[in-house]
Amino acid sequence: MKRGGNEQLTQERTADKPGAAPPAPSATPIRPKTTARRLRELLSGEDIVIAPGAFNAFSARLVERSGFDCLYLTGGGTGLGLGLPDVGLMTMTEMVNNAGVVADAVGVPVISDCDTGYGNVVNVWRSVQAFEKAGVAGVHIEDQTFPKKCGHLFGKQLVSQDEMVQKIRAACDARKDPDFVIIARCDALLVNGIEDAIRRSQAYAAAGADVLFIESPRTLDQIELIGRSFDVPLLFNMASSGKTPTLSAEQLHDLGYKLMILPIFTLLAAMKAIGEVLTDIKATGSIETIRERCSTFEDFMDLAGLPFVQELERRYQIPGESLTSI
Amino acid sequence: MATNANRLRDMILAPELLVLPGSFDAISARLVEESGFDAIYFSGGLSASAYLAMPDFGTRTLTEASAQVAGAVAATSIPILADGEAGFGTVLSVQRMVREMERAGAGGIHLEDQSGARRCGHFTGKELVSAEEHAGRIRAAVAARSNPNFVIVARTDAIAVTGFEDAVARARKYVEAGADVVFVEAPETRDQLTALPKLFSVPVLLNVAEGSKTPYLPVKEVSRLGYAAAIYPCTTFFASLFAMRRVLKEFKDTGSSKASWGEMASFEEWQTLVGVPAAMAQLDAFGVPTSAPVR
Repeated sequence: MKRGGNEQLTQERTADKPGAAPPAPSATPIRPKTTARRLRELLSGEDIVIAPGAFNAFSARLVERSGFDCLYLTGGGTGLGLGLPDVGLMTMTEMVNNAGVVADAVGVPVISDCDTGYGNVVNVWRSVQAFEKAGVAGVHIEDQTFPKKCGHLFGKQLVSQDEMVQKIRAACDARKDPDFVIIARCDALLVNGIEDAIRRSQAYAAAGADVLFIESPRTLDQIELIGRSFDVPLLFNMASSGKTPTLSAEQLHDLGYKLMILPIFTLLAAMKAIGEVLTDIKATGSIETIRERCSTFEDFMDLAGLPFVQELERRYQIPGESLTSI
Repeated sequence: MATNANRLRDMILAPELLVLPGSFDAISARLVEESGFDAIYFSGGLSASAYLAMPDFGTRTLTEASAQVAGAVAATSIPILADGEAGFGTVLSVQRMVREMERAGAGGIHLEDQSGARRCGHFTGKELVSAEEHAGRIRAAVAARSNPNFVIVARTDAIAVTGFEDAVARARKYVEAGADVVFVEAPETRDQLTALPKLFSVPVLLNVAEGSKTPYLPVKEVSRLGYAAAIYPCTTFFASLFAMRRVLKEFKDTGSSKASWGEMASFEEWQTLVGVPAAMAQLDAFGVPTSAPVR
């Protein structure tokens, strides 16, 4: 089981008692349930699920260590990692590679951006199977034409409702694990208005979507209307573009939403922090003024999983060989 | 040494017909070179088939396509013309495709005027973008190449959709946009085949696929008609399917492949083709101990 190592790490991190001995590594880690099943459990619970965004393995581990039950893998953020703007230039292969790396790095369910499914129904079919194989718990697929644009940009174009219904049906049929969560994202609000967005989303739910995601509502009225228009779980995108009003998880829960994603706030925080540190280094030629704002070398090694490596070394120590230490 | 792009351009511009047999992976590309041809065509549709066993509907990603091209380039020393399909999206994707294919080491690409949900040129149900949109893609491709000799072949799929006249008019627009070579896909009659090489100010490429909508022409006839380049994408792939099926049937029926050994490649041929003796010599030369020679 390829995830064994990282799950061990996850268990260590989330151990209740600080300083408690970590569980011994097992050659065949027991995996009682899939992350897709876990995501479904979260979605059927009482509370709203908060899924902060991650853009790579290290940000994903930070989300998990901060105590969140679920995380969101951003396509736009993954694209930035490749130096590409979020306008459909990144290939499905590139996104799936990142999804696999992120899913391997954490134990919590990962919801991944799947753009338009990267093309027509045939591409949707292949994409869903590729993301499922990469180990994510679910994906969202949107009704823009391929190649897509970031949901908060103007100039988006939509496929017909009929075509998107077929894409949702294809996505549902393509999954091998029936627990794999298919989220239908509707981008119609900025293009055709709220009525069309709700009408389309109802059709996507009827086609089998497990969760609905109406992109970029502009007003509290729209957010309330969406909240009371559906029986299926609703996703709210706490976006950073400024087009969506700022609401807390508690407010969203009261408005009828089940899942709150915050796709790029971790990335924006990192950008700002890195930029500030670089400005200081440029100005002073030294790390004197930045050290206290940085994590430590120990933090760095810890997040990368050195304790697990040390545990393996202790367990399988070869007589006469020394152990890795900081 | 001249780059693949420079060499491919020179060969297309030379007075003789350049024949580019198709390849679909590194080994078939190497066989084309071994057989004495001067350039190789790397087919998008057939390499997608070899890789995914899926139809050529634009399902394979640019990452996958360019990796396959890079493998074939690394395995050969003659120029490869690659398939840029419809550019994988917008003009921005076209530019990314050109950069990826150039980095993969292709000598050039062809870029067709189908919509994003593209199909093999000889299938029905193709959809075109407007001539203006495709001219924009060609301009984007030309602007994106880092070596000005990287060959941009403009392909039009219009014959089957809007007819021969429109195909010619479109191709002329693509030449104005900067295309180096014209590729009018799937001509259907002898008259069309005869007319095409004389209609443009740039070299014209012909696609000859066994059993397609285009009448099959041997190299001598293509040359006589005045084409600058001819791709024969399907020959190697179809031959492989035929040979593999034949031997598999024999093996299934009799439990032995021995009756075909006289016609099959030998173990030694395989080793030589992938360079085992040369690799062993490298291991020896760089002092890596080898336990036993590979036999």
